[in-house]
Amino acid sequence: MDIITLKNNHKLLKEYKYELGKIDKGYANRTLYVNVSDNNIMEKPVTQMMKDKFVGGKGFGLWYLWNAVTSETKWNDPENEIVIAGGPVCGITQYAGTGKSLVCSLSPLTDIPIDSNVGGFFGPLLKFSGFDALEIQGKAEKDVIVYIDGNTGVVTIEEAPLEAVDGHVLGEQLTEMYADNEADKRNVAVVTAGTGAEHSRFGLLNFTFYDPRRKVTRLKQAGRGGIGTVFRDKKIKALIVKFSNVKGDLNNPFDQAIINKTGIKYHKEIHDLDSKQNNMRKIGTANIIEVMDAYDLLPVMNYQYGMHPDTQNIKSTVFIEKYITQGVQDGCWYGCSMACAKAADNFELKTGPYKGQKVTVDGPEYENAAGLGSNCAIFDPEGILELNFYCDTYAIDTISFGTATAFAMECYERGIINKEITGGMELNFGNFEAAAELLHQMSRGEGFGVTVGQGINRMKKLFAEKYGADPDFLFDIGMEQKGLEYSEYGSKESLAQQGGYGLTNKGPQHDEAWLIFMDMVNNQIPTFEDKAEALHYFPMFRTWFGLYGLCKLPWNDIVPADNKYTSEPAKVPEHVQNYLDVVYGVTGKKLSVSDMIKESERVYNFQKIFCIRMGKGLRANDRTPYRSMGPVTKEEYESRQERYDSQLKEKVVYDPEGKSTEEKIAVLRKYRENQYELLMDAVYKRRGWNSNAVPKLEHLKYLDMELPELIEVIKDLQ
Amino acid sequence: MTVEDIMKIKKFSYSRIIVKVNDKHIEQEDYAVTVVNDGDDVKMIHLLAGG
Repeated sequence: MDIITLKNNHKLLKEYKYELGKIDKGYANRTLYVNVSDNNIMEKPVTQMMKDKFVGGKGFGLWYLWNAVTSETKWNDPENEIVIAGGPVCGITQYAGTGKSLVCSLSPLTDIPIDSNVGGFFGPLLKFSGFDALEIQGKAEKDVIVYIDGNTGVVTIEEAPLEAVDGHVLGEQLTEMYADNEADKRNVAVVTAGTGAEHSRFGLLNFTFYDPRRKVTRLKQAGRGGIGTVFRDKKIKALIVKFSNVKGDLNNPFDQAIINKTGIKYHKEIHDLDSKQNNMRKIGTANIIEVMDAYDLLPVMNYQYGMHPDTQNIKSTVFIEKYITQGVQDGCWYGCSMACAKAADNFELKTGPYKGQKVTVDGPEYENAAGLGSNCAIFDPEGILELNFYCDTYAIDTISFGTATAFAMECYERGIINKEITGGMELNFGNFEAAAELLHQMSRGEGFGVTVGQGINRMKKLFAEKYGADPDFLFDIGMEQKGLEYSEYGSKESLAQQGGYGLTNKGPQHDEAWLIFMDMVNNQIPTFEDKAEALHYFPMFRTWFGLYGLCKLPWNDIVPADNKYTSEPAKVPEHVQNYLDVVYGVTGKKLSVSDMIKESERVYNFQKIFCIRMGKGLRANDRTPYRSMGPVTKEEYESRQERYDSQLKEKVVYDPEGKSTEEKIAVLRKYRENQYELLMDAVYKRRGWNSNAVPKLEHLKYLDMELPELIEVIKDLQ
Repeated sequence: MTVEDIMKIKKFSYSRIIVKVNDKHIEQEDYAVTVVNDGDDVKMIHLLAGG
């Protein structure tokens, strides 16, 4: 159907005009509220309190979400919001990774706040159009789009009945529709979900940016926690923002010169060192596929193992040499010299509704290759690319899909579920066709795909209650916590990373802390206190990126040549200083490292109390599946028997000689579970929480976060 | 035994590793010729901090 016909069938529900504004030191100083139930649109001022306590980005998102919901609100209630916010640094063009948006909502998977960061142009263009954040509330009766014209100062809500739902088609349609010409497509950014988000709980949001060299609309994903599911439940088809004349100084920064100087220094590092370090410009995050395999950390067959001989079929060089287009500027925002948003072009699809079409696949990132590949034992690069493509366009989180499918495959192989339950599907490890069919079923809303799309937490209940499975065993092998599926790293041999996953606010996503090498390989944090310090510093430091609209990757996926001579190379001190300089340059705020950590702590503790308010967030919720800690089954233990036997001798002072594998598993398990309990105690103490994981009132005072509504939630839990 | 020998035994294949022997940095080109003696303090720090 042609674009004019699509547009002519739009029905205008509301038009709202606003004064175009000027950004002052990184802040537009107002936000946009849109309610798709009653079509109310209004502006809200950004207060000094919001800046002081929440900074921007994820901080603003959580603050608005807190005020929108009650402790009783469910993810699919109209009052649940989707909040998209960049942050004060978002939109500068002189430093790498400065176009990020943070998206917050109550999650269909976890029932607590989720935050997910995403590239693409929407966040920066939203700010340049006049808004530090966009709040979406309510539920529309029919499919709608929300269009923000940042050139003329008009916001509209329109019924949009005929456009596609799948992300790669809808992104193209709306970019074409709202751009005046080919050159103008760069000024249009679209947020979509996809058909899979309508039938699963782990739907994602696609954020577009137009790629003028490929002449395609590229997709970046706010993947985690099911925000795309909320989006489609609200009957939102898309959000569009249009803003022309992007320039490097639109944030009206406090000191442009220091931003320029810091950026030039950084770009030179990328130019000189990337090919000697991580090859981010060639393959992006997928550079570590073979590294994880070499160190026994790659999830294989639902995290049972950490390496596999067939990993050579999906190692990064395979994608570089055969699939990923090289020599193209792949930054997902202007000025990102790291350019890690890689893509495979002219990829011919073998299955599904787009079979036979040649498409651009955004990826694979490491998580996709590991989740869709090794974790499901699909060691086929084209299989991974196909699943990657369909996950994106259907708006299915690759991580949750990969981990949930791996769980279902293990259940099938162990006879917990059978062909009758899967609808005839032979869901063995390595069966690409079955994995693809699960995805297509999620898109169509039928079959066993819908069951897998409910996530592992709900599958566990279903398999136990309906099919008589042992709930304890399912708990052990179901790699989810708080309702969210684990991301794609094996953590069995790193206690710190068990905490890095388990002691998070939103669930086991590695964006808070990735400590496996510091802990397991380098032995840099041997004591509980060392691990607790790392599990304080790194989650707080990484939270900070999401407050300012920054990407984490430029921090440590390239490091200065002399970084190894610094006292704390893992922190990359020169890059930390770069960030402090950039923030000073944009906002005029002179921060120290401890100020930076304190800014994050305020938001982190706010999110923690938000989780408690919603009925989670306590020690009991930090319990993790045993497979994240150690070998659950006989075959897992025996595959690494030498390692485990020696640990029993050295760490547990237990002689494994003559003992059965079952006995040894039980002794090792008792030891490791106790270690995790001790870790929880140490981390909670370091974070200023009590033994039940509740922030202490004096800690809130230290953080200047004694907000009455926070105290009300935790005062009886002291 | 050299630094290179130890890295082979430990199967350390990652490209960004900081090696220190008795607190002295060893450059990559010297791994094969740097001998490690009994009692030496050897640190091999992988600089990888995940996605």
